[in-house]
Amino acid sequence: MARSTELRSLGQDLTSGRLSRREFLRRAAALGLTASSVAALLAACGGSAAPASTPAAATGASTAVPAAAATKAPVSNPAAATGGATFMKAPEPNPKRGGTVKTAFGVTVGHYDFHQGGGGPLVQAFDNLVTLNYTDGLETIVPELAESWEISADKQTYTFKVRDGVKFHDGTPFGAEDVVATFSRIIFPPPGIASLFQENFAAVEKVELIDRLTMRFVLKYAWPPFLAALTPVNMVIYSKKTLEQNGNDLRKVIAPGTGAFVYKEYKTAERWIFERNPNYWNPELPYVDRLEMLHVPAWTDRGTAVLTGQADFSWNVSMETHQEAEKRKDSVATRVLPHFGAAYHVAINNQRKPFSDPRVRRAIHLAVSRQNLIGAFAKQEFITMDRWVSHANKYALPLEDIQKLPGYRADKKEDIAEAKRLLAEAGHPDGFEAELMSADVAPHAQIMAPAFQDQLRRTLNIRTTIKVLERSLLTNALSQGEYDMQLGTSYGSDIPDPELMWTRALRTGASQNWSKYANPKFDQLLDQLKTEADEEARQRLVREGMQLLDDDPPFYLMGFADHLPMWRKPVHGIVANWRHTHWGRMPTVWLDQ
Amino acid sequence: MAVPKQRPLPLQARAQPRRPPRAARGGLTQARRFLRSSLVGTLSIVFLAGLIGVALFTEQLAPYDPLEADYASLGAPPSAAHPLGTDTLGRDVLSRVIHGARVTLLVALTSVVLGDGLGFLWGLVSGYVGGRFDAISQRLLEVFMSFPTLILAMLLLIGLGSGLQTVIIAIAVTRVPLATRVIRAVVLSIKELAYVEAAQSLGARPWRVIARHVAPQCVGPLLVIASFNLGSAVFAEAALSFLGVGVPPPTPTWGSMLGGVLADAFKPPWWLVIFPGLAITATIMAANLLGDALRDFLDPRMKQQVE
Amino acid sequence: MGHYLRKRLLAAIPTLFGITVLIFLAMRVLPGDPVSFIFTEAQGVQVLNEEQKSQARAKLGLDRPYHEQYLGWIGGVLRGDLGESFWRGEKTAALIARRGPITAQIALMAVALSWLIGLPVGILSAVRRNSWLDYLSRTTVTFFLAVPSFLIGLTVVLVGVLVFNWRPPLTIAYPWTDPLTNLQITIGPALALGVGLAAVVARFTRSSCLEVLNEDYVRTARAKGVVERRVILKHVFRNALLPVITVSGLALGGLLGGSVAVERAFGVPGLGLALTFALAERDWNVIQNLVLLYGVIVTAVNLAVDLSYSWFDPRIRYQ
Repeated sequence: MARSTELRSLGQDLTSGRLSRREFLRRAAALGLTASSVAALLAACGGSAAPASTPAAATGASTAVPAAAATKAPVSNPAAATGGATFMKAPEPNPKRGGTVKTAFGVTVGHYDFHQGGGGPLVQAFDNLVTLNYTDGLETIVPELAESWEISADKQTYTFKVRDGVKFHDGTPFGAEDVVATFSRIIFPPPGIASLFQENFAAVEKVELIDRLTMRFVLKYAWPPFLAALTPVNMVIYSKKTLEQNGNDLRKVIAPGTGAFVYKEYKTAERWIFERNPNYWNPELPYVDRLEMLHVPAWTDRGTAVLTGQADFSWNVSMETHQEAEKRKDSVATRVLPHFGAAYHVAINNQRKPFSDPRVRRAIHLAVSRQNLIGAFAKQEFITMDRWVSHANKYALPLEDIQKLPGYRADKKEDIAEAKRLLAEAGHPDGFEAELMSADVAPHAQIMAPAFQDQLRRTLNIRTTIKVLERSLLTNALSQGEYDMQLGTSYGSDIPDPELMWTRALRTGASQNWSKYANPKFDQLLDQLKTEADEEARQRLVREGMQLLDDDPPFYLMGFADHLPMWRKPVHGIVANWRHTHWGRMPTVWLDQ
Repeated sequence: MAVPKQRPLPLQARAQPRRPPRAARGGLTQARRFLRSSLVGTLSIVFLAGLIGVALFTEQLAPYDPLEADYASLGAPPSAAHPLGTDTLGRDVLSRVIHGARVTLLVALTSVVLGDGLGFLWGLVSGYVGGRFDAISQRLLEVFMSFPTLILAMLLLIGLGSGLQTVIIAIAVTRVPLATRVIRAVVLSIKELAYVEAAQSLGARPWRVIARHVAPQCVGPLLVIASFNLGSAVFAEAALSFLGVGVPPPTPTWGSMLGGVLADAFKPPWWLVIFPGLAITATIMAANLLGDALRDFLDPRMKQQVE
Repeated sequence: MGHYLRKRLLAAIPTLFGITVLIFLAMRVLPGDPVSFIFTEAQGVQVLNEEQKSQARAKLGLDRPYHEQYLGWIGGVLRGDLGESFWRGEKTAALIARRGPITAQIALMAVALSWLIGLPVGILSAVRRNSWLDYLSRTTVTFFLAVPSFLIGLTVVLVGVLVFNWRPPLTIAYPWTDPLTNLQITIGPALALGVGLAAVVARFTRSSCLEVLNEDYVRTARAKGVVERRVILKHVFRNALLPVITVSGLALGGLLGGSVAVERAFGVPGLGLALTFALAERDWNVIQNLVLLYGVIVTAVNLAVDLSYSWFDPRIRYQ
């Protein structure tokens, strides 16, 4: 269970010099890691070539990634560091070219407009302004359509110089005006456009064009995660021309991108086909000629597809097939990747009695055993116990520290006694009745919801009835506040920094504050966090925030579920070392065949 | 020449009485005769009765609380403590199969009684009254029959919200068309018989003719359909659960025990599949065999051949 | 014959009308509308405010009165335009053209398979009535009638992966473009559905054979000294087919709409799955057209079955 977290903290120890390389390898071996994943981890942690004693590791990641190395400090100016444009490339030496990669994925797209919530696999055809580096496990921020950027001394102006000579797939030349048009639509949406990421850029005052290749964002206040907010894969750059031609609404339009792959074909709930962009601005990429992204909704089917060679790659397969793959190491590779996208939690309606009483919520927080829930779900998903932020996050408290805290510790005796006391104090010594909603997917409805129900009944005599709903109706009930408790996975964020996630989900009156949580002290802390630029101070504030949430919990959080990617051995080019966002682009992927 | 107004439905051909009415004979005598004539039928009845017995005495029979999770033995294979093993939440499979019998039978029996009962009445009236009422009824039934059954059930579940009652209603509604059409066909053939015409010409009121002369003739075919429908209702409950729209958890039903495990499973533990699967299969088999036996019994020519 | 056909086709109109009204209203009455759903699938939960929702509704034409929407839909269908998916702008006709053949092929293969297995078993157990062969086949038949088809489907997939390291390809391939891939996709579902159906066919074949064996003309044929094999094939088999055709027709109609559970067990991209996806997305236009298509298919299959009676039993004539 704790393997991935332990692995991550191992990596951190290594980089901070607390651990010798030899000791690291020994401990990693004890964790049962493969040689290549150790090598990947070493590379990602800034290590040089793996020791000769692990020859298999040499192919894993022996050379550092130029772009990644250049931008080790995410906010430094990459151009200044390297003296010119930077290009991403495969982490392995001598990548081969050609071939078709077949992926199995499970997302359906409602429409094609990324900034209104659609798009999905179409990301392959696009670039961002800046992106997380796929070749170092998303550790660093690297330029994509930007060539370089400058941050003013007051950290309120970000000036981007964009690449010259880039063309959209329809032949339109790319320029800074396209970046301005794209972000203007997101941040200041015209009527009729449902901009879903407007809130991510609340700090932005204006977006300005300077010249053909230069533009800038002016912020209302210094906001440290700004660059990170540009990195999620759906922050793609559309052309100004396309936006204008379609009245700013791209829901029914497959717009041309600038990306490494050109869109060829899409069959609903069947497959996407992309072909190599021969005119891609990065002369090195992409390596493969063709991507076939098969739509495979069931994660077990995704797993069997990779096991049997029907697909080469899948971002997330079922636990059981992942375990089966571990027995077939000669043909498939597997990873466990923490991310910050989706946490299992039970939303609690803070406006309904008796949940409006913080003591009731705290009692639930204390009494229900996270260990039991996670254990019961172990055949379904790899959940790691988390304390309000994902373990993929650098702000997270290490698992061994979390395990000592009330509510999180394995020994429940004291916690349950305290919870009973709180519940009695709140006027419910004999528990109460409530409704627990769940989505109509078997693992949620048949395992997690009954387990939570069982725990509530057993510890606090809170008697729940489970109501199973389609996802759409579930979401509706959530947004309308018509529920008592609801099992879900919507708590999460698309960027590493927890501030945005907290602001969206936990601030009084925020757009995704479905639990209708209101905690003035916590709001105050968010205000501080918003403008605090110093990393250590931020870390301290986040820890304080966690304590506030423990004391007055908005809902019941189990933890973030790790993704279980799996690919066939010929696939190379992605350092999937310890975390990722939900959709990766694949320009650096290559096939060894 | 003959115009087939109606395709002969699978059961219809067999269900039509070919002998003078047996209405006068008592139901009990009939039952006794049936039990004596068919070993398979008797065994099926014994099995189904046993099942009902299990369903009535779940508390006494089940060794554990079917909802009680045991986090120390999650998904344990059969052992002395848990003869049929435990499920993903450590709940005792034997206890869940026993309690599942109650819910599954409740769903199947109630939906068959409701659905076939409605179909019986509708078919009776529609066949006897005929005319415009019959024509409209036939169109309505065609509409329902030309609707994908599972989608119809899913629409009902979305509309009424998930729950035990909704599952019963959804399954019951999808039983109606077949029952109605078969009963109607039987009524149409009886209507032409001399004794019914005689009763009519003697001035008997329509409802009296239906109750005294027509309905009793339809009871046999109804029983045959009902026993087949019982099996298909058990199957429908399992299929709905497999698609995630069955009886809401944690209530154990055989369908949800299977569906919950199988929906996303790669290698489901065998004891979680075999036991509820066996329960479903055995019950459907018993119901079908009973239907066969009843059909043979009620159709004298078939009976001769079987004996 | 022509008159009969015309009459039947006319009778189908009210049925189809009823189906369209039913599904149209169901879509609008049931909770959950496409506008509230479609915007919630991005990361986290995102919900439109009322103003944005009403704008989106207007864009889709969902703010018009019901009768206008209904007539708009039916008018389109009559002109051969099935419209498009609410959000992706994909043509419904294209979706049907792509997925329909796979579903149809699986249905036909399942029925063919059921005849290949069910007919010989049924005839044999009728002719050798009460022999051990009869009991064996009846037991097997009753068993397969009772096993849920999705269970058979999952078993087939599991054996494929674990024993043969093989699973059906996850694409669509047609017999006329890539017959081998096509066969791999369709054989599993056809088998899972066909086995259960074979049990039904065997049952009906047996009972109707028994019935025919007792008819006077069969006795006459036997008395005349006609070879037993000829009696069976010429007199019994042909006449016993009627109920088998009826039940196969019913099953075929059902299968052509796509068997959702089996398609899901195998991950086959067929029409049944498309319908459940559309239902989950509340893509009304796609749902309406698929349900209508299903109604048309069922009606057509029923008609075809009725017409086939005269071919199998020359005594039946149509007016």
